[in-house]
Amino acid sequence: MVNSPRFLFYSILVHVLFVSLIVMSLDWKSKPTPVPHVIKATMVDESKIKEEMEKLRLADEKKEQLAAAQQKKLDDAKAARQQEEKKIAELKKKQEAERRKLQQEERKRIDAEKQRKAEEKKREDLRKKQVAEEKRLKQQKQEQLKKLKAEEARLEKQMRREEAQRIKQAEARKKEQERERIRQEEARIRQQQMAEEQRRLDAAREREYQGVVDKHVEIIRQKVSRNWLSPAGSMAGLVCTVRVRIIPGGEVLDVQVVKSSGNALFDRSVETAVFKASPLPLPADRALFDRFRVLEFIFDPED
Amino acid sequence: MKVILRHLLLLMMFLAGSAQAALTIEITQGVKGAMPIAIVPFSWEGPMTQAPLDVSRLVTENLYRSGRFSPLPEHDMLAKPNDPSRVNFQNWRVLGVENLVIGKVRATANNQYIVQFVLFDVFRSTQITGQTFNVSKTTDLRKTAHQVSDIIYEALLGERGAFDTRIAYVTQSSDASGKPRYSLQVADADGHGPQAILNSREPLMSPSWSPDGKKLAYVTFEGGRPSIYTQDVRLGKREKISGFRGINGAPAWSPDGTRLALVLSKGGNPDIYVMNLLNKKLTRLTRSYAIDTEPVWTPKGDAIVFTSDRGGKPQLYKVSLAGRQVQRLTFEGEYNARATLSPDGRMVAMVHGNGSRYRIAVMDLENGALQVLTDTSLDESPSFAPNGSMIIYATESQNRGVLSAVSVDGRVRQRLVLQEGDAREPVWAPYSK
Repeated sequence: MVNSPRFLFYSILVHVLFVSLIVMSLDWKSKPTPVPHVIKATMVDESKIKEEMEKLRLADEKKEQLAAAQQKKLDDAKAARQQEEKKIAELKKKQEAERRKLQQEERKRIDAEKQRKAEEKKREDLRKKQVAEEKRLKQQKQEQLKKLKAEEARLEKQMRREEAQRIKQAEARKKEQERERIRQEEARIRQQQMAEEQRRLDAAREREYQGVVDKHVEIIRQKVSRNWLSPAGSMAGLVCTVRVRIIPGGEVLDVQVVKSSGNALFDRSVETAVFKASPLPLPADRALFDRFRVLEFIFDPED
Repeated sequence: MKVILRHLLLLMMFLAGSAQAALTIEITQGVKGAMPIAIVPFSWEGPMTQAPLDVSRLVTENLYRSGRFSPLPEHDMLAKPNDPSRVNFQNWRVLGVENLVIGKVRATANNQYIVQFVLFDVFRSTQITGQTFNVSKTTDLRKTAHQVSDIIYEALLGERGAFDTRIAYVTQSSDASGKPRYSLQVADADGHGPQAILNSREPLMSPSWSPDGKKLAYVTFEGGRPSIYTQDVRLGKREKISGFRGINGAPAWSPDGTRLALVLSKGGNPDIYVMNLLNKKLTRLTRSYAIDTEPVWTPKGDAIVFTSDRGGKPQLYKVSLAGRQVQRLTFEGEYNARATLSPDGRMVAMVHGNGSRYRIAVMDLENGALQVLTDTSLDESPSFAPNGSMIIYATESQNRGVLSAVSVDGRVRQRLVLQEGDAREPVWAPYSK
């Protein structure tokens, strides 16, 4: 008897468990009770559980007696209704045969009609098909034509395009040629204009030079005149021309009588005048010296 | 249009090109004036330290007095060469001298000299002329200097010089007793070496040279009446030509020397007559109620210019010998008298009076242009040099009659050196023949 306390404890534990399961199942639909109640349940008295269980067994026994009565009533009603239904079914069978016969005849007629309609439809379909074919052919033809035309148009268009291209190229070429011609013309005009401008400049420079030359001719004339001690007495008809060579500084290199006046003194006065006027005032621009390299003086007194 | 332009341009270029060959400059006017010359002092070689006469200085003075030369002052000379080889023409060119004279005077023997000179053209570096003179006596050095002057003058101006010529004039002085004394003098053209060829107590007037320069005609009052004489200058031989009643004045020898124009009043008023010197026959040229006087011959001898107051105031007139036509010559000024004609007959010089001033003027007979030459106020008796370059005349200076010469352009006037007394009525002798 060593295990007796442990057994006892197990037995208690199983009972607690069992009871708590019942409690829990009883209160399933009710609102769960708070946990402290569950813990309290463990403390429920076993006798109360036995009582409850006895009550439940009695309820079940009553319910089973009620259900057997009910079943007996139902079985009686069912046998009556089956009798009735048998009679109706036989009537119905007769009606059915009648109706089936009519139905057969009707079906025959309908079938013939159906056949006729089918044939008609067949013919109609053929005709439709023919029309459709025709239409299709026509359409095909038209499409072919259209296609042809399109091709033709395409070709023409291409031809036109090519032609246009050719023309365009020709025009471009022509334009290019025209441009080239204009360019050359412009170049020619420019050149001409430049040449003209050069000539104008040359002429202007020549005019300017001429102005300077004229000015210096006048200055030289004045200087020689100032230095010409013209002989006293009548000089009527006396004219002497001398050619004078000068060097770049204006110095008189020599004086040569190219046309004598016939009067030695007059000629000498002329030569002396030129020598005395040396150096002759020349333009500062040495480019003009060449014009002064050789000068001719005509001494022709107004007297 | 473009083508024309181009052608024009070518033408212009061508013209410019041809002008380039020789630019032609016409000179129509020169300057009138004196010719620049340098006369380098002649060197002297001789026993004395100095030459008895400064020949080059006399030449310089002569040339200057002519008005035709402007001699370079000695102190401006950069060099004074005496030898042609020493001449550097550039020295003279820079001074603007056109002509150069160098020379030497050398004593050879007693009172004998050699004078040499050379005339150069400075700008052409050439010798124009040169000469050597053998002078046989000291007093002839002066004549040699005049001859040198004449040679230079002629070489440079193309006309004969008048330096080696003479003048005649009248002087008046007083002798110790205070009585007047008149002399007819002959001197060098510059007034040097005067010699009295006639002295007189009575006035002497209006000397006139014979065209050969050998004789003088003049008016003398000897015997109290005016008469005209001629006298051989060298020999002194005199001849009375005219002693008519009244005025016998203003004798003038004809260019050919055969006739004498003179003024006589034997016909009433003083008129111009011409006397044939061979037969003494008189021809009356003018006949007027006015005074006609102071006749001078034209160089051609076909007419006589004289002074007349027939127009109211004294003016110059001209009368032709052939037709006796009288033509008035002067219109400018209220007094024009005492004509003298240039040797070429183109100019007449006169005493030109305007107000209180009497000055010497020349008139161009071709255009009548009159130019007053002197600046004094009592000028008288002009007389042309035989080359027409100068006019000698008398004027007054410090109340004394003096002689002056003026170049025909009036540029140079110079007093003649005179030793004594008042000088009047100078007449320039013609070239000696």
